[in-house]
Amino acid sequence: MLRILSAPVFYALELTPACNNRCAGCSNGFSARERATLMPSDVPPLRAEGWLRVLEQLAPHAQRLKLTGGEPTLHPDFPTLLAAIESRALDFTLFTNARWTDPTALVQILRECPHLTGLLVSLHGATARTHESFTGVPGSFAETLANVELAITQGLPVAFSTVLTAPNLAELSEIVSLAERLRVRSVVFNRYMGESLPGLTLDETALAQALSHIEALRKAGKPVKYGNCIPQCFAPNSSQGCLAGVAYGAIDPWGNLRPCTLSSLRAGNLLTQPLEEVWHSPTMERFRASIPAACHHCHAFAVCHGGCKALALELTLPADPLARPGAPVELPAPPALRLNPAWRPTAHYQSRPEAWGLVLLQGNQLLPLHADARPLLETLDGQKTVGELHEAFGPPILALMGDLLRHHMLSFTS
Amino acid sequence: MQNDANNNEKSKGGLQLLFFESESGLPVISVLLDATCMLLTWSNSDSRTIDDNCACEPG
Repeated sequence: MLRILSAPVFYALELTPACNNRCAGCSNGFSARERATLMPSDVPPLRAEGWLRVLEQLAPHAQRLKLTGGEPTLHPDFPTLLAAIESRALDFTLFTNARWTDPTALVQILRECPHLTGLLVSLHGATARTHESFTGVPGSFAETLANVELAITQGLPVAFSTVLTAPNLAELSEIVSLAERLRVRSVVFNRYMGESLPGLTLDETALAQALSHIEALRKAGKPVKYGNCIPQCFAPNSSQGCLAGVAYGAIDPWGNLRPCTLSSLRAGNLLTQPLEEVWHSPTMERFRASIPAACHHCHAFAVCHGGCKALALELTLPADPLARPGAPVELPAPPALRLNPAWRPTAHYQSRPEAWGLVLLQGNQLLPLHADARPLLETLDGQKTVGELHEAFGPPILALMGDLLRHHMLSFTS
Repeated sequence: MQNDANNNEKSKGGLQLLFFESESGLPVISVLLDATCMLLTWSNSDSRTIDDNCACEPG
């Protein structure tokens, strides 16, 4: 069963199609190709005025924005857009290649943005040769790293985003070491999603090898994550399915809502249509309906969400090419959470009503709940102990505390 | 005192929903009460953030 929010709360804003890298595996590739086919070439991307109109629609719902592109800092009105986002108190992440026109000025502007949660910086190798084999720009490795160091020196949190490719397969540990040396907080590994590219695309054997390596790094306590989903039926892994079309959408440089940055589907335009109408449009419904039927019966469905729907649609495949619908899947045993009965729990969240219940939001986390959780939530106010709550409400309150903790919505005092 | 709020008990509580709910069972956590344990064993590193959700290369 698929539940969706009445409007998305997480957004990728593709501020501009312009980019100063020439990545072979650009995630906007499908969209760019579709645009070249269907859109008149003289339609200019939105300037500040257009984006402000888009923001007016998103602001009542938005919990977190991700500013992307192209390279978002190349938008001619970038400082104005930052100010508009800040004035609406919207938390945002900047997804950038860190090749900035005026690094010192940009970092200064970003330092003055209290709602900036951090920078996600594209890095595709531990050496210039490997990184630049992807970006296509000589000198981009040194420039990116220099600006990462500048940002970190100035107190901005940075994570790396790395696409797994044949050239960097042997450098995964080195990328993590480089991140640790630079005080980069984490490395987010992404499977490459796009048309097969000779010399770049990992075959399935090599990808499985990369996943195994990343899982080993995780077990060793290294700060590594996955940035996109890898079906559990392909290989056991700690990635999770994305929320595109469920709680998350992308807005392209012309104001069109798409399910995600990878998908070329344009569901409607937020300059001319209400957000809710576009979110519930036939195009979005088509995207949601593209989950393979077999995935609905799989116990891993809640983890990997049926794989990447966007990739399947773009490649006109019945499912994510890594998915093996119907294949047996083994999930690891659920982790155990131990609570001390003397602790006093306090829940922290914003609540959003939905037709099927309510969703709790906190930072970049969201937790859907039945409406009958509400009275229990109200007891988590720091006054009662875990033991007292358990005595009064039994196992459901433990389950609720577990869910809240898992989503960083619960703290304790002793 | 130790009580295992396992999957069945959780379902009885009827609190949780999932956006993607499998028809063949849910992956769940176990929540235990343990008077001797002063530290959470839950690892926050297992959490997911939207920052890296579909964080594909921007170009």
